[in-house]
Amino acid sequence: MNSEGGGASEEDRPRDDEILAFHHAIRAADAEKLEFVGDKEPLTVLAAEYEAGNPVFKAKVENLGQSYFAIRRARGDGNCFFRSFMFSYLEHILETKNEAEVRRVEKNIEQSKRALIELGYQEFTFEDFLSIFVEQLESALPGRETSVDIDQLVQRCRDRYISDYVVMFFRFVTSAEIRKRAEFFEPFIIGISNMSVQQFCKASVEPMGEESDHVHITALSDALGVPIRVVYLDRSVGADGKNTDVNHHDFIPSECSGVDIPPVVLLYRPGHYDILYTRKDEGRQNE
Amino acid sequence: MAEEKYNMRNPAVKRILQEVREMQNNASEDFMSLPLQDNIFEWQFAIRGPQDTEFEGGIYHGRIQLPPEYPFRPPAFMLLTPNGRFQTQTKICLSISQHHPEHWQPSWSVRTALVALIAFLPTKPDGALGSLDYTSEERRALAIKSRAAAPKFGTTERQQLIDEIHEYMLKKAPPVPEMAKEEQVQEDPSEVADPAAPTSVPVSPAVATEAQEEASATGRDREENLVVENVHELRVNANAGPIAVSFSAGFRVRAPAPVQGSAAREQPAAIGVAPPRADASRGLVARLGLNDDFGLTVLAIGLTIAIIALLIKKYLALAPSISGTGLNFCFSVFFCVTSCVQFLEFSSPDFSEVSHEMALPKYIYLWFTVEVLAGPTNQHAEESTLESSAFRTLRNTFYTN
Repeated sequence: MNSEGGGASEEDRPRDDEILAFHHAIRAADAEKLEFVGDKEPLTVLAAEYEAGNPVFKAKVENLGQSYFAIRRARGDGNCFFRSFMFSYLEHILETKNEAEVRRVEKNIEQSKRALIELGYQEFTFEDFLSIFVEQLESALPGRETSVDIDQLVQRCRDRYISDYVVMFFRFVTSAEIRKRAEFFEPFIIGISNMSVQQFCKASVEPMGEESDHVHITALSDALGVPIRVVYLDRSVGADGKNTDVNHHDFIPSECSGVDIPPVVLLYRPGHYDILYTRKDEGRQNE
Repeated sequence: MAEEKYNMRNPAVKRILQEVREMQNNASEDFMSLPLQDNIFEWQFAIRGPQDTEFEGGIYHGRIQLPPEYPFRPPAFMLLTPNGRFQTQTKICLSISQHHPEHWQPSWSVRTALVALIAFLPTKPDGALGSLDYTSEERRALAIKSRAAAPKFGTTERQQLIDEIHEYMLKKAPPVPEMAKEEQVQEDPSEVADPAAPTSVPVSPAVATEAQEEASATGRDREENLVVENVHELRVNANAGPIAVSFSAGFRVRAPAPVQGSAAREQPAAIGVAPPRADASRGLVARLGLNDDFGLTVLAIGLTIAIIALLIKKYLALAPSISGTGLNFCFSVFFCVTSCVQFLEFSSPDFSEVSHEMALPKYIYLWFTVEVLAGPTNQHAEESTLESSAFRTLRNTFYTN
């Protein structure tokens, strides 16, 4: 996913700080165009995007419409997976009003916190991030002074401070889970990055703006105990070259083995995640 | 910290205040860092040069600027103390490696960054921006120099913080003995090359100034570890003959009018400096609570002579022909004083320069010492109190002159 390095020799490779500056400039420009999370749009906007594009994409977008009806875009700043997850999950809590679910996740958060401390993180480096997320969880539940409606939730998720803090919290949780289960994650990490588990966490999980991968999603889903579905919109056409069904992968933590459709559904296009809304939810959400 | 001054909704403020608290609660010997009172986004720090490197013993000050987006954006570090590794007042590039850029991460803190900075000191600059590649000798010299005084920078308030941090670091970072010695050799080889007699009193002005510098740098603090540090320095210098005396001059600066208690604590150090001849005087030094150079030296000489006088007296007392105690005593005192003065004047040319203004107190003092020693031993306790108060008076007279 990160096509860094390439074939450029050491000499013509720009300095790291130059690359970083360039990177920041691109993202800053991007930020002008889109909020951290956009508005809910019908899936037809996606079809319009590929009108003149690749026929495989076109066919797949059409197929996508069978199971999903809406999309909410996330800003492509390298944190899109986490921002999408944040909004999608909080929206799920807001709609289901499931207090038991919040308590369950909070228990998992408590475990992640312990894991972080055991791994040597100083509490003050992550406690602010943690408490911001717990605040958001609590205010997604109804009947509290701080309770929010969907518009307020959107506003909060567009607030740089809240959004960045929650993203950072997810990055901590993800990193802790990967390091805690280093043996499990190691083969995957070596497969994609040729780094040690520790290095991977330091270089590709914890820093803001580092894109997420299968490894991140697995770890976050397991750590919080929240199932995630990722729908893949790409040019793969199956073994016979004709299959334009849209593949998806469900990340189901062991404690949630009975779940049918995960509460969080994300659309993946190479390098980017957005939020998808399933047809199943269509009726309720339109009420 | 004035928390009400800041918008606690600003997450950076909350985080920074937490870091301040953490820094204060878990103080390190390797570094110290605190924000300015009126702006917690501006910090001052000092790091200790890492052990077994040419930076060892050095105390390097610098400033930290935290961005409003902290901890999402990295703090900027600048050194203020010349160190030979990083340019001063230039932002330090902590991601030196071209191949594995270490992005700043919110899980880092001022503490981790300072630890990293210490670790970076002995690394090769490899032409990184803001780096310097001085020789080990130059760096070592800068390390030693860095202890003498904190850099001057910024407002009075900032300067005060810098000075506080410097004092704290001096307490935590004892110099390396080898280095201190090397310094001596480099700066004034003749001093060491000429091992003067231990009884010589002269205080070479150059060395004395240096000693005072050292003393004022060490601060006026009388804490336990400071005393240990003094012993440290002094032991080194005791090897260098005349410097031994000059370094006790440092003590005088530190404790101009020692209270009995604190003086007693510093005695081990004082004894450490005393030339071998003074060994016999240890008991008295301890009882008197003496710790200044002049007193010590005179005392050493005086007591040596007093002991001789005592022996003579004993000898005379044994001789039945001259048994009149008064006459006997006067004789011995006179003998002792004159021989002492002669001895002092002969042994040290410099001494005669100062001996005129000091003549009276010196005579009285010698007399007093001899009388006490010659007196019956059962009056010991009373006499020692008497003597120490008398000595204080004497010394005051001397210093006010």
